[in-house]
Amino acid sequence: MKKINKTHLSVAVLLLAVLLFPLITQYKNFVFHTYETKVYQKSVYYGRDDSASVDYYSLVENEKGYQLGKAKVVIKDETFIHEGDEIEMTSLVDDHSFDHVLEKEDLYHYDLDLITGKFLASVRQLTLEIKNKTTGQTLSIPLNPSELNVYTGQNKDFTVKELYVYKNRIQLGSINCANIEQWKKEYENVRIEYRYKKPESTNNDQYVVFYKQVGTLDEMFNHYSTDRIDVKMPEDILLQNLDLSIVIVLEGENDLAFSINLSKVNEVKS
Amino acid sequence: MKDLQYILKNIGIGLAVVSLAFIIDLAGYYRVDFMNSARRLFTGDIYSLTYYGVLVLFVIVLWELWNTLNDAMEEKQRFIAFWICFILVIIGYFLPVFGLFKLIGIFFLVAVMLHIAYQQYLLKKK
Repeated sequence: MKKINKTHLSVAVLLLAVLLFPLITQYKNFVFHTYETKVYQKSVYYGRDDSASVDYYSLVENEKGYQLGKAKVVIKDETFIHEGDEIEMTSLVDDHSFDHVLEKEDLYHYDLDLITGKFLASVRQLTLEIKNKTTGQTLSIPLNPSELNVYTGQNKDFTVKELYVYKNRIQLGSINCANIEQWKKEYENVRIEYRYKKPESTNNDQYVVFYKQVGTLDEMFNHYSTDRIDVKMPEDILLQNLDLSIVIVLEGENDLAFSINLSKVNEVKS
Repeated sequence: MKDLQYILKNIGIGLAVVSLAFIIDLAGYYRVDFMNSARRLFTGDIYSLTYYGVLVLFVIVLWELWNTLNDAMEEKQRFIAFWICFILVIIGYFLPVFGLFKLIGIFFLVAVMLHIAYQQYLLKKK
């Protein structure tokens, strides 16, 4: 073996030790932010023709299959439906069909429920079939994907993931906490306020809180579900044009409050 | 100029090893393709990106350490080092450790093996 350059060797070993320190101490934080929540593919579909319109139709893909529905259906053709008629609606996803349970607002307005379809394949064609069982007439509305905005936000210990915004509706995502056991020692409950900044305001305090959640830290953090809280805003409020943020108020002996700004991200697609 | 080339080569190896390992690991975790995985890494969040940066620096220094040892090695010792790396890659592949670090270790050892092979090739050419 030739003579080794001891200075080089010592400097390299010293630098390795210096770099190893943040790698070890920040490892937990890195895993929390990088691997905490899987983002599933979610789409919102719409469809309309002269006889009916379908909007807010939600399609969420997860490991088991799909969750689909939760749409708003308006029947515009007055000759199709009459008082007392029995209506049935079915989602046709390629070769699969799923019957929905309907919630009737009035004769022409219906809400579809969210159902689980256990099949694993990419969706090529989606149609909503509306059947008047009394007269035997059928309407077929082809559905198309529409643009959906995904919001996230984070600070060192908290991440807000997967808030889906479509027109005036927002589906709340999950909030994850890196060191929940540590936080639980000091705080019992948490209040979460979802808010947007008034568009015309120049003052930083001009926020409108549109949804509040209260619960223990275990109830509020580190839960993942595809069946989300759906908040509907007035028709004239388009959330994608507004600055969104959340305020987390941790309640204990000394309350702690901080805000996390939400920013639009591109959805990670399969 | 030669020093600059040397530094750039080290940075390139550090970036290649860590980026490749990170992108493959994220692609497997999020079930996304290579491009979406790269996008997740570089535009996902500042915490992952910072950790990625520190890992790149770590691999650059580790490569420098390898270079220091390599300079002191005879041809026969390099041959032994090559096979030690090969065995470590095989063992590392089956080790039940955190995926990202395993991939970084494997890619680093592969880079070391390629380096040794290239040096042997240059020697034989002379």
